[in-house]
Amino acid sequence: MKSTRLGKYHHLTIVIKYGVCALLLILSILPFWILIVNATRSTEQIQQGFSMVPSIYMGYNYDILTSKGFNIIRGFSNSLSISVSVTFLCLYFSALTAYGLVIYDFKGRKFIFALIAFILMVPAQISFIGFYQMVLRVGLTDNYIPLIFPAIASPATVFFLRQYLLATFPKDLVAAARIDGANEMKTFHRIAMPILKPALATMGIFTFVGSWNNFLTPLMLISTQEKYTLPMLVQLLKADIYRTELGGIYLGVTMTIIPLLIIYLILSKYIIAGVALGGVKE
Amino acid sequence: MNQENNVGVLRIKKTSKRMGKAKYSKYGYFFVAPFIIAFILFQLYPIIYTFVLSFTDLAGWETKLDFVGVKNYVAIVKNSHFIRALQNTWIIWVINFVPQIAIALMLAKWFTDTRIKLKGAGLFKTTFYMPNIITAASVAILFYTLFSYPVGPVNQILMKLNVLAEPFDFFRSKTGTRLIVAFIQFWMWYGSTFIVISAGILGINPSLFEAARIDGASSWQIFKKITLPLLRPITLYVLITSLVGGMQMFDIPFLLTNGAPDFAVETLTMYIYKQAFTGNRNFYVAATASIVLLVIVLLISLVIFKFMNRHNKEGVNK
Amino acid sequence: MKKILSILMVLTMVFSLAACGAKDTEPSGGGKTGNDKAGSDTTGKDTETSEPSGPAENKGKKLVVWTFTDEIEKMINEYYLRHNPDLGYEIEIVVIPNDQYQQKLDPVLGSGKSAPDVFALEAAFVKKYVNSDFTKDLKTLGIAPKADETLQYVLDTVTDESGSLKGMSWQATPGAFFYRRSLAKKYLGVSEPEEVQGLLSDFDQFYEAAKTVNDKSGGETKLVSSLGDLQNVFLASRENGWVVDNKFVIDPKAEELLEIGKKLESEGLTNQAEQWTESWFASMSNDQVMGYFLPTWGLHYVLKSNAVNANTGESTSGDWGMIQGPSPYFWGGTWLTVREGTKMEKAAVDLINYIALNKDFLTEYAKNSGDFLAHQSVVESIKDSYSEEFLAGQNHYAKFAEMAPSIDASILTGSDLDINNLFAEQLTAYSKGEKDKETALADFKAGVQSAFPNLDY
Repeated sequence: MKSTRLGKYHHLTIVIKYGVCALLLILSILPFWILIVNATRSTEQIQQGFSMVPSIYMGYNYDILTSKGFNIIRGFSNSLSISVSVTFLCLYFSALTAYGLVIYDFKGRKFIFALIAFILMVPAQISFIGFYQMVLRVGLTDNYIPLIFPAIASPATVFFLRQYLLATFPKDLVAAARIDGANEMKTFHRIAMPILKPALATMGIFTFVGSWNNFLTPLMLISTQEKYTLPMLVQLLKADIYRTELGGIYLGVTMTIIPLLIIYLILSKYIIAGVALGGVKE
Repeated sequence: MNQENNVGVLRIKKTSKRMGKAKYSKYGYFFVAPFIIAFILFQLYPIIYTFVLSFTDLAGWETKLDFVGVKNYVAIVKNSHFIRALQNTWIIWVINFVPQIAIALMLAKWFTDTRIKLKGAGLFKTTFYMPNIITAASVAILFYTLFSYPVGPVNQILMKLNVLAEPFDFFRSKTGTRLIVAFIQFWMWYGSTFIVISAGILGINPSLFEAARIDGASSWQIFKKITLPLLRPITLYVLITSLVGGMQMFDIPFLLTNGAPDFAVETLTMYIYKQAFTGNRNFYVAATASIVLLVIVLLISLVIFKFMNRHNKEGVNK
Repeated sequence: MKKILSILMVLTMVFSLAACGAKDTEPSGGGKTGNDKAGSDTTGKDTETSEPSGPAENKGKKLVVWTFTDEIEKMINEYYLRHNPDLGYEIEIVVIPNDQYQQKLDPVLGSGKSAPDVFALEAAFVKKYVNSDFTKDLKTLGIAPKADETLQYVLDTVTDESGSLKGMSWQATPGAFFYRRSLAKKYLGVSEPEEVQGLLSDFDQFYEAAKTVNDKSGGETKLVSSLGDLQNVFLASRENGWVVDNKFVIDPKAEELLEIGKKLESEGLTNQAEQWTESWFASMSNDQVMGYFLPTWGLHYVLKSNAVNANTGESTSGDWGMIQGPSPYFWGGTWLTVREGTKMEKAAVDLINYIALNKDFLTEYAKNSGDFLAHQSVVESIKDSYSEEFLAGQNHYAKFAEMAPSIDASILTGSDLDINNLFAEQLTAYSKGEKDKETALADFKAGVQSAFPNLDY
């Protein structure tokens, strides 16, 4: 008797649980769907009413968008070159640092690690006034250098990789390599890097997405429209003066989102695993 | 969770010393040198420079630093815009974080409950996390058009459903706009929090649940008595990262309404940005506000860590 | 002054064995566009070492122009480059959105790196740059508009405290009130400009008319779209700008605006659609709004491009009328300035001379775009030829020509953009009943004080 009551109760809770999840599912997808649908509708249709069914004005919207100089290809390659460089620098030098902190017993290593843990709690925005003034004084505004090179020092990535190395890296391998005559850099490249691969992949995705989505720093530093990153181009859409083309705006935003969505759906397994592993937030 | 690792480090250190690897230790400097140099150049120096600027009157086109003592700090605590930005940041963060952690916990509990297996965890995780990877600039524009007045999709839907008799100007309502900003933050982050907490729950020794179940505990009891206490470190981790992130909130409110209506969603970072890049371009005010923000975040993190350590110890003692 | 200049010029010309200064002696050469650049580029390069005050010459390879709208881009691409196919250097046009313009411009001016040679400035912040050291005195470069050329107020706006002319413009921007004839007929009983003007000649009348339109249309049609529409009109009629002798001043006109804004808003007499939003544009092609306060450029860039209702395919073109409205005003305006320290002086001078003073260009440009010019003799020669179909045959040009000479732009300050925005926020908040007037004014002041702590209050 007890079990049947429990059974009914189970059915009900399962329905409720699936219901809530379905609701959240819709909540996550709906805005994207509206966005994509509106990208295919004309400004007038959008103003007139709301619809879930795509229309036929995508080409028209695209023409409007490109006629306004919304150079998405340019924005894309700008964002891509910055993000790829950032990701590479961040991963390589973070791995180097993490390896150094784990393998070598040098004076000050505890202090450096404490510093890294501390910096994790400092909001990045704290330093941006100083950073901006510094960049201004050395004349590097409107240049990608200040957007890319700070990635060499990424405390969050170092922290994550260090934990990973501690958990997975058999130190005897280093000793063995030394006996074989490998120098320290070679050991790092040949032995540590392959072991770090899964962790690097995880952090790589986050670093890439973080850099791709970075808005404030390029907004402060970049002035030439040709050098604008994708997020900066997107906000230009809102700033148009003489006429608001809603269809064009939606299409522009869609075009910036779709590539990321596709990459995400392909890599979602790794990304989710990465979130679970590190819980690192940008 | 750091404590344990630190213990681990100490142990490793001792063993490696015993093995006589001291001659290699100098390579450590070589390996961390690029990080240290970049760190000093791009993070430490700017923070110190910001700190220095907060004692000057640098503004506009000026390049010469004139020191004015602590005047700026005295002025900023009396600046109504700064105080308001501080309040806004907190309000928006709280109304985004409370439902975020609650729903994340709830979902994590559901999806890790071994008695009632919910299917499709992978699909749900993938979709719930999806908003997080999208550029905040795009998200802000998307929501701006969704909630626009009088003919945005949200207004149209609500009128069709007879919830509203006439369109509601969300971006003219302080509460409305704050709720939208908080909702976007929630929407972007609850999936991530859910996944992190799920991982935390899965990391708990299953035999604990097993034992409790044999003792006849209900799933709610198990959640309350076993899961939640053991999740405390990871919850606090989520809390701190969310807080540090929340204090930096910029993209969404900036692109949504630029602070309107009546500065209701002007956050601290927006205040800093506006001081530095609009009006008279008061770098000294922006720098002062940055340092105050730094102190606030550090104090809070310290309190949370203290809190966490105490509870960890309690947990051990029990 | 001019004599000394030309002597200097001759001297340098002899020095450098180049004929590069020739253009400067006859600024608006009337016909010969860009007469002599082929020769100058190759020669004068290495001789002249120290600047400025000598004749303009080019030491760089590229002229960089910064602007915030695409008008100047069009002028350069569609006119200047067509008339000057062999410039011998490249022109790079950088368009930066208005709301980020200053924040991008200031740092590059400060550092001088990747800074523009010529940059556009808008009325709301032109003063800030005119009174700085970053803009060159154009008279030293040989730009000297004659009495029958550029309108005095256009020159006054870009003349700094010491009397140096720091910029030039092709346009003057008197403001008007554009209304829909059919709607005026329906709700006010009249449709011809003189009659409508008679009903809207001050803001008391304007308020009464707003009520009438609202009542008679059953709320379907409003006289204006938003309060923002009124802001420029009121602010332009102030006696004092926001900042007078480094002191922040709230002119009584600003308070008057708060009052009328509150009246209109609380009685539901506006369409609630803020300027530059999609519904603001949309009601230019439907019947929700009867009129818009817009200046010269508003007719062509705003009204005309939004007149077609895409739902119905119908256009409101031909149904509009133009009057002065309750109060004369001006709105906006774009000036071109040359950056102190540019390496492309001659190219800059040439471009500015062309855009602001070349009669052929101006005539052609005005005919094609309908934009109202600051150049008086050109305006004089073309103003009677207009019969604007969009305005049912009205001659808007002649009307603008009447309004333009009375513009007084002395209230402009360099901080207007930010202060106007801060004021607009409080105007909306007060009008919508979110706060009382004292609070609104206090909040406004606090906002300005926070952004400009260096002013006196």
